[in-house]
Amino acid sequence: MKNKICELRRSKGLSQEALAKEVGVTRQTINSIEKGKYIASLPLAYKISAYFDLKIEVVFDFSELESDDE
Amino acid sequence: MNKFKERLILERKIYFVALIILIILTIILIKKNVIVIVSNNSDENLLDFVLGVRLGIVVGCIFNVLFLLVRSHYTLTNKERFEKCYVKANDERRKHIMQNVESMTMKLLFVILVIALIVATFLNTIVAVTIISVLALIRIIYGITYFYYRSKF
Repeated sequence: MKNKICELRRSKGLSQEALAKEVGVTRQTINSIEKGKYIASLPLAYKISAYFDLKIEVVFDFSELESDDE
Repeated sequence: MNKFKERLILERKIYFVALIILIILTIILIKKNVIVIVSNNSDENLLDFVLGVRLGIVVGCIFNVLFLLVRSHYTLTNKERFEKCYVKANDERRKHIMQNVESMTMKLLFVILVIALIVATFLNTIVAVTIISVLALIRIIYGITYFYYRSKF
């Protein structure tokens, strides 16, 4: 699943480690989510979105799921 | 975080009790000379081997439990390490990896056992029956856990 975490993180001048600490996961988890290798759970997606003060659908791209349903 | 701390405290208590039990067991084994009783009718080399293996297992277990005890105590007393362990224990990607590893291990184990059963059927009936029993037991445990989690979620 595509997402804007990397862009948002860089715009805030945060490292993966710092973001991971803020949302309570490991740096590897943030790295995997950014690369699209791992899909974050709903609570984690909420935490990340809340940290950037944005809605989940802004941070995460759900268009793939929508096209799967059609 | 409190739940994690409580779990660590409980773990530390369990390790402590296990360590005491192991030490008592070692003392009993040495004092009662369990191995010497066997020695009357046994070969000297075999006796030495048995003694070494037993002592090795017990000492290994003691050191292992001691290591776990020291580690859990250090985690509880060191704030930085505690936070690191908390994140590691609750990291969802790690949990996901562990679930997949466990599931794949069980599937591969099952396939290997089925192959072993096919081979054993031609070679040894007792081994084949044992493998069938293990396979049946795995399926029974699978069924029980499936019904447990189906009712849970």
